[in-house]
Amino acid sequence: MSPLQTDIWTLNMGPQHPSTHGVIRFVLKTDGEIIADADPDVGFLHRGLEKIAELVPYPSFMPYTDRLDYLAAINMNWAWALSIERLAGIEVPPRAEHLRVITAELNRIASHLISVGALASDMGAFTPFVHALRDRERINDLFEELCGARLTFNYCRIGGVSLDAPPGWFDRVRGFLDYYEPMIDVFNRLITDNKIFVERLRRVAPVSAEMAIAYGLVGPNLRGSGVKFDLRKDEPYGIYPQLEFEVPVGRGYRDGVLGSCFDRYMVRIEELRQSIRIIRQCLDRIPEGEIQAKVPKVLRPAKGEVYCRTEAPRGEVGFYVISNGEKTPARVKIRTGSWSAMSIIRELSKGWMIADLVAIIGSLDVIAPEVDR
Amino acid sequence: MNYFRNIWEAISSIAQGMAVTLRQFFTKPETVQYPEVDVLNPRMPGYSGHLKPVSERFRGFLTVDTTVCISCNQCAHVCPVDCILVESEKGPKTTVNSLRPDGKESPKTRYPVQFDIHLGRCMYCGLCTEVCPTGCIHFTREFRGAAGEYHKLIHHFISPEEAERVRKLAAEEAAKPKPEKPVATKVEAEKE
Repeated sequence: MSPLQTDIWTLNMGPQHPSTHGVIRFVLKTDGEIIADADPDVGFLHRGLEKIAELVPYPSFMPYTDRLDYLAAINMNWAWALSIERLAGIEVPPRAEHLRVITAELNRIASHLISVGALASDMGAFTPFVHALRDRERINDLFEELCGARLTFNYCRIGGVSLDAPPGWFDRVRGFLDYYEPMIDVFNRLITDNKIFVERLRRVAPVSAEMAIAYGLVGPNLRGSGVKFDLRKDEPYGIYPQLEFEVPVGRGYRDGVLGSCFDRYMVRIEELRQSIRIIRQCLDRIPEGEIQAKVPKVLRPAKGEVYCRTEAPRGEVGFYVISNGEKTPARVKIRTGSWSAMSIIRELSKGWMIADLVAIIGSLDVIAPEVDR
Repeated sequence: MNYFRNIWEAISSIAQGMAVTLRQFFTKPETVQYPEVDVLNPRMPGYSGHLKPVSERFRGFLTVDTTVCISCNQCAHVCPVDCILVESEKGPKTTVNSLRPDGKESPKTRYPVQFDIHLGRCMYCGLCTEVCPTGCIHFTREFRGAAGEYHKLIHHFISPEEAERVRKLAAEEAAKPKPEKPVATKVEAEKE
C-alpha cells in the first residue's frame, strides 16, 4: 500500500471575506490545512490618493487624508497638517495643539477598539466586538458634537484646527473617560482572560525583534515584538514631550512567546489606558486662545521637500512632500503602517493553519484603505 | 494536575465573561430599529427618544441662500471634488449682511443665475462653508436623501424663472449709460 498522497491546493481567501478587514485577497497554497504560501493580492481599494494630492491645493487635500485610514481619520489629518506646517514653517497655537492631541488620542482609542474587537470576532467571539463598538459609538458622538462628522472628521487644518470645542465638551470627554476606564477591565474579563482566546493566540506566529525591524513593522506591531519605539517619545511632535505616558511593549504575556499575536493584542489594550492618561493631562492643562494660526489664503510653500512622520494607531504614517512653489504639491508619497504589516504576512503565515492566518491578519491590524491608498 | 487546572481555568474564565454578558440583559438597549423607528419623532410608539438624532454642528446636506450669495466662487475653487457650479451675471450694486453671527456687510455686484450642488459627489468636508465670506452656503442637519435617479442628486438652488429675472436685471444694468472704466478694471482684478 502506497502512503497517503496529499496535493498542494490553491484556495482563494477574499476579497469578500469578513476577516480580511476590507477588500484584500489572499491566494493560499495549502497542504491540508497547513499554509504553504499566502500570496497577498492588493489593489482592490486603490484610489490614487498620491496622484490626487498633486492635483488639488494643499488645504483641499485634507478631506482625502480622512479616507487614507477611515478608522483613525484625525491622526491622518494631523500628519498631513504637520507635514505642510514644517514645509511652510507655520507655528501652531497651543490651544490647537492640545485639541489635536485630545482628538487624536480619542481617535486612537476608537481605532484600537475596532482592532481588538475585530480580532476577538475573528476568533469566533462576537460579543466583544459589539461591546467595543458600543464604546466607540460614544467617541463618535463626541466627535459629532465637535466637528459634525462621525467618521471622516476633516478636523485639523494647516496651522490649527477647524473648530473650537463647543461649551461643555471637555466635561463630556471627561465623563466618557470616567465611564470608559473601568470598561477596559470589563472588556478584559469578557475576552482577554478567556482561556480559549489566550490559547488560540499566545504561541501563534511570533515575530522576533530582528524580523520586525527587518520587515519595517511599525507601531503596536513593532512594540508587540518587544522593541520600545514610539514616535511620540522618540521623535516627539506637537506637545507630546510635555506629557507623561508609558510605551507598552510585548513581553510574552500569559506565558506566551514574545511577539506572538497575543502580545500585539495586549499592547493595544495597554495603549488604551495610556491614551486615557494623555487625554486627562491635556484636559487639565488646555490653555485659552486662538485655534488657527495666520495662514495665507492661497498657500504656496517655498521650494523644498519634507518627510514628516507621526504615530498613528496603525504605526508610523509619513508624508513625503515636494513643493516647487506652486499651490499644489509637486509630489506626495505616503507611507503607512499597514503596508509593511501586509508584507510580513507571507513570511509569517508559512506553516500555520488557515484559521491562524485570520489571527495573524487580525493581530497585525491590517486595514485595506491604508494598504492601497 | 495541570490538565485539571486548565479545565478549571477555562470554565471559570468563560463564566466570568458570561457574567459580563448577562449583565447586559438588564441595561437599556443601545440601538433602535431604524428606519422602522423614526428617530426624529420621540413620540413614536416603542421609542423613548433616548437617541439624539444629530448634533448642532452636524454636517448634513449643503444648502445655499442665494439672496445672500455674492458669487465670489470661492466655494467652487476650494471644493476638492468640484461638486459646486456657480454661474453669475453682473447686476446693480447692493450690499448684503453675512448670515454668520457677526452679520458683516459685503458689497454685492454679481448675482448667481445658476447654483448647483452635486450631492452625489459631495464628501461633506465643509471646506466651502469655511471660505464663504457671507455664510450663505451652509450645512443643514438633514441626512435622509436617497434618490431614485442619479440626476436628482444634483440640487438646483436657482429656479429658471429666477435666473431669467436676474438676466433681465443684468441686461438693464448693462444698458444704462455709465462711466464704465473703474468697474471694468475691478472685474479684471477679480478674475486674476
